[in-house]
This record gives sequence, structure tokens and C-alpha cells, in this order.
Amino acid sequence: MIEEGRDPAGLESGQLFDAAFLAAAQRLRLVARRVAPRGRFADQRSKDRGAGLEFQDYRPYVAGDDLRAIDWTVYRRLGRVFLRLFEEHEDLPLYLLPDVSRSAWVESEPRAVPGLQACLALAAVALGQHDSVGVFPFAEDLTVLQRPTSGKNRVMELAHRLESVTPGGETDLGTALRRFRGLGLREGLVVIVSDFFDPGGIDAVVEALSGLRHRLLLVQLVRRSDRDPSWARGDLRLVDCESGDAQDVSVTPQVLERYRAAYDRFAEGLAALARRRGAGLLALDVESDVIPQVADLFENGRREV
Amino acid sequence: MNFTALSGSVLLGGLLATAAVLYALQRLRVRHESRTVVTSLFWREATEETRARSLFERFRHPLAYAMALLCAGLMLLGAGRLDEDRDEGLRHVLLLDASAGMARAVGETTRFAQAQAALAAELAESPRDRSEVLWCGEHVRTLLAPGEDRALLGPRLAGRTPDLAPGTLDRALRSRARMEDGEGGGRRFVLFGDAPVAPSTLAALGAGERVERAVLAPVIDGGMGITAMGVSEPASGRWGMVDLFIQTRGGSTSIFDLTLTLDGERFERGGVIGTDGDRRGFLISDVPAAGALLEARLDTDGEAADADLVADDVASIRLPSRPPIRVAVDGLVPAFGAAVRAVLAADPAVELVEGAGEADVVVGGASAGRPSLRFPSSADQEEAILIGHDREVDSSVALASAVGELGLDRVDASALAESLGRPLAVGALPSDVRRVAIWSELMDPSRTSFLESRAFPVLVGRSIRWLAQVPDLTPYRAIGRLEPTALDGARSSLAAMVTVDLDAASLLDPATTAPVTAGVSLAEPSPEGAGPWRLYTWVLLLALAALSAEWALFQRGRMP
Repeated sequence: MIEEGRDPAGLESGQLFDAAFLAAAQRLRLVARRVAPRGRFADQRSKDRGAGLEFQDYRPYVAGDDLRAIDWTVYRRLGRVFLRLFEEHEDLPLYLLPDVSRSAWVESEPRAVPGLQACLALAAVALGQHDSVGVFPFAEDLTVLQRPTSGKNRVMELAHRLESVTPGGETDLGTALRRFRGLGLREGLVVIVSDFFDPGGIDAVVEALSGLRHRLLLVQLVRRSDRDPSWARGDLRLVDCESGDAQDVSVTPQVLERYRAAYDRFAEGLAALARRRGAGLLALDVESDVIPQVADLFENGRREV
Repeated sequence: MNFTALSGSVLLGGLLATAAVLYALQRLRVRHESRTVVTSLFWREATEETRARSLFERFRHPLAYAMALLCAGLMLLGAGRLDEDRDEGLRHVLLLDASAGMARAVGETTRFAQAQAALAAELAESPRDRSEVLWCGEHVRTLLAPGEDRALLGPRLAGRTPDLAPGTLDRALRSRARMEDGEGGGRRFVLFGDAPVAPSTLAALGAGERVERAVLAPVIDGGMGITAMGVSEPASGRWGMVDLFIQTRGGSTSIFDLTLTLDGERFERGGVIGTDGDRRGFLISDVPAAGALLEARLDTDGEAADADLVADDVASIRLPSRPPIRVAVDGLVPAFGAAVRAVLAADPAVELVEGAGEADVVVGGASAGRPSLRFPSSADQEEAILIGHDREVDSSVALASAVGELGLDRVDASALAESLGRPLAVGALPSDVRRVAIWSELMDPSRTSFLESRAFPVLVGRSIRWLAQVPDLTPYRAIGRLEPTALDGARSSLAAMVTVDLDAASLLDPATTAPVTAGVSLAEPSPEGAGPWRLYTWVLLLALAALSAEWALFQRGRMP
């Protein structure tokens, strides 16, 4: 429900999380199939070969290689010098992109709150396993709330930073992601927490995500009334909270049917995008508890990305 | 078909106006309720196909418009009371009986209220342009003219009660029947009440005209009442007295049920009872005739005998005044003077006085300008009996009247003429004061035997009364019966007296107060087409069905 004339405000202290929330979030674990090379040593399996314990491969010796890595048993059998390669464990950079556009704040129960809670839950998970976490809220543009950082003790600091988020303007995912790409960050996992209500529709969302080389997790903030606007009856002038555009609608069952069809096309487009990109997609009901829904994302307490 | 509540032009205009208003409403710009939404993205897609492209909203819902027009049109037709015109051009004349008898109580209501209700029901079924309502009380008046709104009838009848008079239903019907039906479509007269209609009235109706009587609830109790009252000369012959006659109707009235008062004082006297069907006559003898107001009240066990119509339970009459006639006797010849004196002395109406100055009538001598009975010689008077009458009366009329009034018809004129040896003549002359002159020769016992005849005291006594101008008593008064013919030929019924002179009598006609309808039986209003299932009833039901269908479509979202 949107309160007419409501001026979106930020979060109050303590509104975003509590101890129970954090404890529940830290029981989850995020596991990368392979993190990008040249990362910091951490828990994630890396494409880098290094000093890990788990054998991975052999390769011929070249000048300059560490002699301690030569497999002398092979040399005795074959007469050739091979090095034993071990898997390197590195960190998984987690880039959280919460949508703080006006649409996330105008409702009486702003969907920005569960969105930021989801961000904090994911951040707590990542920080708990020595991964780095960066937070980049976006609306019409991207801002850097927290550059990638790691350390279990940073959860509280991150929570306080998230509480300082202020409402933005119109959603422009394309501009925000271009700005994100321009930051030149190491490949990691990008989590976009948004309603994805870009004025350009699903096409604009697809286009914005097309140039993103990171792994992707889409958290769609949904509300039941998004698809079934039971409040809609009679002749209405619908004003877009972000653009201010007015749309006169005589609500009839036919119009409602077409509305639902349009919404379903949008949701299906988002799901198809996630499938094409091999990305995860979580439809987060903003009217329900966040942690159980995020937990569903982590099968057996783990989520492989 | 016609419209009983609205004219055709009004209804057609209403339909066109309704269609225009609904059309304009369809074209009006919609006042939208403003709502802020998270995104208008999906709404934009959903309404792309129905976007308005003109200054006004386009004609958005033609089917909804048709449905609304159908509902409005049907309701308008129902309000106009569309009905089949079973009698093309027939004019309806509704006559409301407002005579005294309609005040009769029937249960908790009155006969008049019943008639009013029946009238309202009939009027609702009649076309407005061709219906009129007449009030038939003491006078006939138009209550509702053709074309007038029937809603006016209620206020015009509010607080009205039946007139204390006999019905004029028959008169009104006769009057209307004489008026030609200008439009020629025929007329239908519907009577609401019990007043009778004479067969001659029905016979006077033209072709295409018919009379019906609305069916009212039957009256079980006929009620009781005083229907006639009057005085007459006393059978005892006593001067200064009258005999009182009272007639009642219904019940088993006895003399003890009648309370008589004279100028407010209780007057108790027994009477003779005669019966005729349900009517009883009471004759009360020798009531003092001193000009008092006598009131008769019908009571049974202290309660009103006829609680349903109290108007006929009381009647009153002003009794005549009969003082003794003062007569002065002077200058009579001895031959018949003693006989005349003896007759006057024996007459209870006569009081002999001395001197003409105090007398009402002078006998014999100089009259001194007073009415006189004289006995001139035949040499002084050509006629044997000469009457000097009031100047305003024609002599021939006065003479004809005098024959009976003076008792001349009892005189054996032929015998007297033979005795006198000459013909006898009776003459009349206008005079300033009344006088009667009789030949003295007729009174001479040596020449005629007139003094010994029975006609002599009658002639003397009646002459004295005629000279003293003692008014006649009206022997019997009742509405619907004519009074005895007066000398001036004027005839009036008691109906007029009831309302004009209540002191004279306040009697009601039995036919007026009786609940039983007299006259010929009339047809009842035709039940054809009556009842709830008239055409407009179906129209209203159809309108209701259309409204229900519209509501159902609206609820299912198939209608904006």
C-alpha cells in the first residue's frame, strides 16, 4: 500500500537487523565453483594453482619453477620432469547492488528494508567465510557504499553502513551497471537486489545485464499486490512514483487480465535471463521473513554459484 | 395503449431527455481517482488498447449505454403507467356520493371513506386526460377536472365530510347526461356511494353511455333514526295546542326511547304508536303551541340509538304560536246577535273583549281599521257574501281559496236562495284589511234557516280565524315529500329546510340515511384488465429484471 504524499525516508537505527537475524544469516554458506584467479587466500576453490592441499594436475617443468613441486616419482618412471600442481583457495568477491530507487521506499512497508536485509544476510555469510564484500547501492546511478572488504568483524560495520542508505530517484539499471563495470573490480559474484521495475521494461534489464562478466544472482523484490492489484477498482489515475507519469485507467476485468499478462511476461523475461546467464534468481516476498527465503536459496546450507 | 399517469408527449420528451442525458454522461470526462503506484509499466501495457484519443472521452461503452437506456426507458414507461387502452376515447365521470348517509360508520371506518378509497383506486386505473371527479353532496362540484393531476384529489378531499343533506347523485347524473359528449367517444359514469338513481335518469342516457356503481363493503346494520316530524291541529280541538307527530326508522323504538324537550325543559307525554314496516309513528297530543322549540332525541338505554349516524338521532321543530283571538262584538241586531254571540262564546279560540281597540277582529260594529265580520243589508251589498282580501293576492285566487278556508262549501246555497227568493253570489275585493260581509237577511231566522244549520258556526269560526290570519299548520314534514300547497303556489321540500332553517326541522330523508341502495340496480365496474397484472406491471417487472441483469453484469465485471 502506498501512502499518498509520503516522502520516502531512510532507515532508522536497528530497523535493518538484530542479533537473531545475524546468527541465522551466518549459518548459511556460499560456495563458489571456482573463484577468479589472483584473489586473496580464502576458503573458495580457485582457478589458481598454489600451495593448497588438494592435488589438481601435472605440468612439465619450465625454468624458474619451484623445485619443491617436482614429482620425483614420475621422473624415475618416465625420465621427464613434471611438477605437481595443487589447488589454491582464494576468496570470492561479493558485490551487493541493492536497489534504493524511489520505488523501493514509497510504500508504507518499503521493500527496500527486506532488500537491504537480504544484502546484509548475504554479506554476513560471505564475511564469515573470509570473502570480500562490496556494497554499491543504485538508483538512477551507482554509488559506492562499501568497497570490497573482508573480515568477520566487519558485519556490524557493514550493517551500520546499510542503515545509512538514503532513497534515490528513478531506476536506471543500465547506467548503474555501466558505472559498476567501470570500477574494474575482480570477477566475483554480483547480487542485484531490486524490483527490476526499470522504466524501459524487461528489455532494458536484459540489455543492462548483457555486458556484465561477473557471476550473477538476481534477488527480485516482489509483493503479492504487484501481480494482483486488488485495490484497483473504478476509474483511476495511476501516477508512477519515480517518473511522475500519470496513466488513466478504467479498471475492468479485461484490463486487469491484461495487467497480469504484462506482469507475467516481465517475470518470465527475468527468469529466462537468469537461465541464459546461469544465474540464480530469488523472488523475495517482501511481506514475509527474509532469512527463511534466503535459506531456501542455500540448499543444505550451501549455495553453489 | 395509453398512459394513465403521463401524457404521451411528456413521456416521449422524457425518453428523449433521458437518452440525451445518458449519452452526455457517457461522453463526459471521467473524474479519476489518483493513486501512486510503484510502477506504471504494466498498466501502460494493459491500457494501451483502450486509450482515449479525443477531447472528450470517446463513446466508451455502447452496450452499457444501451442497457442503461433500456432500464431508464422501462422505468419511465412504468412511471407513465403504460396500459392498454381498452376503451378508446371513452371519458370517465366518477361521482362521489357525499350525502348525509355516507357518514355512516362501518366498522372502524365510514361509508364515505370506503367510497373515497374505491374512487382513488378507480381513478388510478383511468386515463388522466379523460377522467373527472364530481362531488355530489348538497351541491354538485367538480373535484378533479380532466387532465388534472390525480395527486390533487387527496388535498381537495382532506378533512371533507359528507354534507348534512340528501344526495345529489341522481341530479348530477341527470345533469351530466343532458350535457352532450363533445368528443363523441362515449362516457362511463361510475358512482361511489349508496344514493339512488332513478330509472328515468338511466333512460335519459345516450347511446355509448353507461353507468356503473362501485362495489363497497356491505353495511350489515341498517341503523335507526328520526325520519319525519311535524305538528297538526289537535284532535281534541283545543285551541293553543297542537298534536306532535314523530316518525322513526329501524329498530324497535318505543315512546320511552324518545326524549322530548320544550325550550330545553323536559317534556313528558305519552303517545300513540303506529307502525309501518320498520318505521314507527308517534302521535303526542295537545302539546302547547306557544312558539317553543321542541327537540326530540332518540335514545336507547342512555346511549345513542344509532351510533353509526348521529345526524338523524336528533330533530327539532319550532312549534307554532296559538294565542286566543280577541274578538269585539258590537251593533248586532237582536234577531241573530244572540246566536252569533253564542257561537263566539263557544269557540275556544275566541276571547271576547270590550272595545274594538283591543280586538284582533271586530264583529258587527265599526271596525276601526281592524279585520271585521259584518252583516250589511242586501241593499248595501250586491254579493251575499263579500270577502275583502289582501291586495297582493288575486281576487279569483282568493275567492277559490276562501271557499274551503271559510267553509263556504258547507253552506247549502240553493236552499238559502230559494228561501230568500233571489240568487246568492260570493265575491272578493282587494282591501287594506281583511273583512267578511254577509247579508243580514241570510241571518234572519224569519226568512232562512241558516242560523240553525251546521254551516253557520263553521262559517263564523273559520271567518274569525281567517280574519285573524292564523297561520296554517304544516301537518307533516319529511325530506323527500312536498309540503302542502300554499296559496302562492310555492312548493318546497324539507330538504331545503334542513339546511336553510334548522329551527324548523332537522330531519333527514329515510332514503338519504338508509344504507340500502334504492333505485335500479347498476352494473359494477368491469373487472376486465383489473388486478395487479396490468401492462405497466409487466413493464415495471421488465425494468426490474433489466436492473437486476445490469447489477449482475456489473458485479461480474462485465459492465463499467
